[in-house]
Amino acid sequence: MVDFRFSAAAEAFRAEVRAFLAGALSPDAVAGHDDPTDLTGLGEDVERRLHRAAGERGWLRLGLEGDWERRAVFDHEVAYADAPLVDTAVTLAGQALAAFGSGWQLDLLERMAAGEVTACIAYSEEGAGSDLTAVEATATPVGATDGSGATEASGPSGAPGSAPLPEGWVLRGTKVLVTGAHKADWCLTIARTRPDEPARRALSMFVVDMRAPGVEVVRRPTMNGWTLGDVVFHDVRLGPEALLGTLHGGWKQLVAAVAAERTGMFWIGFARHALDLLVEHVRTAERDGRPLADDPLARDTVGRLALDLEAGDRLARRALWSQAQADAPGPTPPQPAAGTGGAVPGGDDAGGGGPVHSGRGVPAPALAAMAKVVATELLQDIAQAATELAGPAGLAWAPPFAPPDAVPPGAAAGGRLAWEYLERVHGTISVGANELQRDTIAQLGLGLPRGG
Amino acid sequence: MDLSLTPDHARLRAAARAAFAAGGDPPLVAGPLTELAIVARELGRAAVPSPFHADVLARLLGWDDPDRAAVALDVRPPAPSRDPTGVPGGPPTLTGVADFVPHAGAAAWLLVPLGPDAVAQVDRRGPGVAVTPQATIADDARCRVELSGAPVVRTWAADVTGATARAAVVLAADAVGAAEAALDAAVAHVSERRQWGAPLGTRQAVQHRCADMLIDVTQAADAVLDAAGVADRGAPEAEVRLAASAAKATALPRCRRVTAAAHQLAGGQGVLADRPFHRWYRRVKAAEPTLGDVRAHRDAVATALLAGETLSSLAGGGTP
Repeated sequence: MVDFRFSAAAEAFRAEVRAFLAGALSPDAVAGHDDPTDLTGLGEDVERRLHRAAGERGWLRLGLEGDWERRAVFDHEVAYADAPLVDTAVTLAGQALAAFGSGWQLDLLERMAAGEVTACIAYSEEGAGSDLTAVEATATPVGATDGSGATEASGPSGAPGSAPLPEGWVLRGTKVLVTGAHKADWCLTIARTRPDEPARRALSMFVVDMRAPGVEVVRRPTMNGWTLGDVVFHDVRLGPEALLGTLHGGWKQLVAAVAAERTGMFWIGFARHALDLLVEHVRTAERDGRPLADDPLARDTVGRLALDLEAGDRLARRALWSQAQADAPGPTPPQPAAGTGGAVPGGDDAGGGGPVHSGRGVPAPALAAMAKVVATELLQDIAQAATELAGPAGLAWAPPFAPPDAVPPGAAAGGRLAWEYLERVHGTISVGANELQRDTIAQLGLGLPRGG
Repeated sequence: MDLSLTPDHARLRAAARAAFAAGGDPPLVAGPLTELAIVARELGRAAVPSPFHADVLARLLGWDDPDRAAVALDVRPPAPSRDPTGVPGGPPTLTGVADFVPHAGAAAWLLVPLGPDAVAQVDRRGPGVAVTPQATIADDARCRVELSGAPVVRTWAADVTGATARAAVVLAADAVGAAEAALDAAVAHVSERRQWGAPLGTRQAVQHRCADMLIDVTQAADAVLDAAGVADRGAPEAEVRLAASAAKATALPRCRRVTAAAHQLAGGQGVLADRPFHRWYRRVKAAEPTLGDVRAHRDAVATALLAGETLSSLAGGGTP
């Protein structure tokens, strides 16, 4: 029968992670280390310490080892706890290095998994966000005098990999909206290596040392106080070893890397934290002299959001489970997976002539897109409901790990609800805007045709 | 975690689908909740009138007789007044009114809960029993049942709350079937229907509506499968009931949205009675207030959370 619970072993692991985080993030442990200009709310020293501690325990390599249940549990718990273990180097760059890296890059991956280095991913540009085919940063082969880049990088056929690689590149361009750029040791980026070809045949991925001459990071405060980085490459000289994967083959790699970046369980962990704050507020607050917990509207909101969260959690689990089935070696497992008919989930076949999407389950990438849409929109719903229920006290703002004297008096939930309200704006935009996710759902999940 | 259905489940689904397509009866009305949910989902897809849900509830209350029994829930006053003496020397009798009892007209017997832990059996055609059809937008033959000193044939102990919770999961599965059939039909329509030189389904506004429908149906289906699994794995009764409330309160609003959206995508011709969309639209609406409405189930969830409990179908360790 259908059972959405993780294994007993994974749940035991959850307890282990919780115990670790309770110690590592205790008020004593973080006192004096708060940093509202960082997304995590904590200083870089705490972050690096936690990365090393998690790395020593093998927790950062769970995703690389295919231990998807433990990875999901880990992602959920660190997000719930506001631990600076969400945007680890492995999460951001690990899947791409594992899939396409070689030589020293795999050594770097090992150091990432050990928690010894930090990383950022710098793909977007001012004019290239969701549509990365518009990337304008260039990596010009060293020695190319006409600026075309194509002359030395590819042979007459233009086929990737058929020509000798250049001795290096000169990287030029500006990347924007880079999470953690100011504290990253390494950067994954993408640039045009052929000026005159469409992006799908002209982009290449590079691993860049953030301390290399010519790399500049400009911190840009976000609406919620922490900073994103502009990463400016001022003619940064890259050696041949900086290329990740196939020359001019970066587009395909990028699509795979972005798809593998997240399990979706981070969002569920954030949402569970926010919902718990909302429930606690309703349990303890009064409205017009009466317990808010007796207010039918407040109760209805609690029930609805709790069910939405469970439904989002189930969907995230289904997406992971489905991907794990697809990744499993051997014959494809039977996929009337858990549904009982039709498209959803994992329907069987209604016989010939059925609707376009009958006869197969919803594929894993569509489920991942569904989970992303649901979780990021749920985070906004919870933040909205919580701030509305809290009234003016829900306007009082303080970031995670703010010291007591930085929390406004009278703040609901220590100022967290207002922080949530501002913070949850970007989730529906980043890692593939939800509009693109819905395109994917309709096209991959339901077989609808691409528009004109 | 295991989200796969067994080959037996797949066979049951196929059998149910074939049975309903041929206008036949459900292949089973008793068994593990997962199996009942599989059959119900096919019934909702087919959207044909059937006393299936009345039969399921009766079985869950311990009815084990080939004759058909309808269950009169929510008799007014809250507990049907029961005269254990009645006519001196005669049987105990029941007095009260229940509205919108599905399939009461054609039943041979009426089952009347006497509070949360007992059920009384009354002869549908016996003295003191009046059954009046009530026209509704549902297709499940709702009736007003009036009892005025109706003799009780027998009573037995039954977990009424547990039975209605489980029946609510099965009913939610029916709604899921209706919603996914409506989604299938809507997708087929927008894939074929051309306007301004292209299929409607190429338009982003249409695609995004369909995407939201797929999300809704998937979440509804999984809430139901999860609740059925919780019951079938023998979880503590409080957990089963909470999961059942979660299933109904998760599935019904989503399924309702989907059947309404399907109408919108189907366009003007979708409102014609010979088109199928209204059957799914009505079916989900009929399930919405039945066996506990959405607000009541949502409030059960809120009560648990505000008491510090967790929704536990996802918590704790499952299969090794």
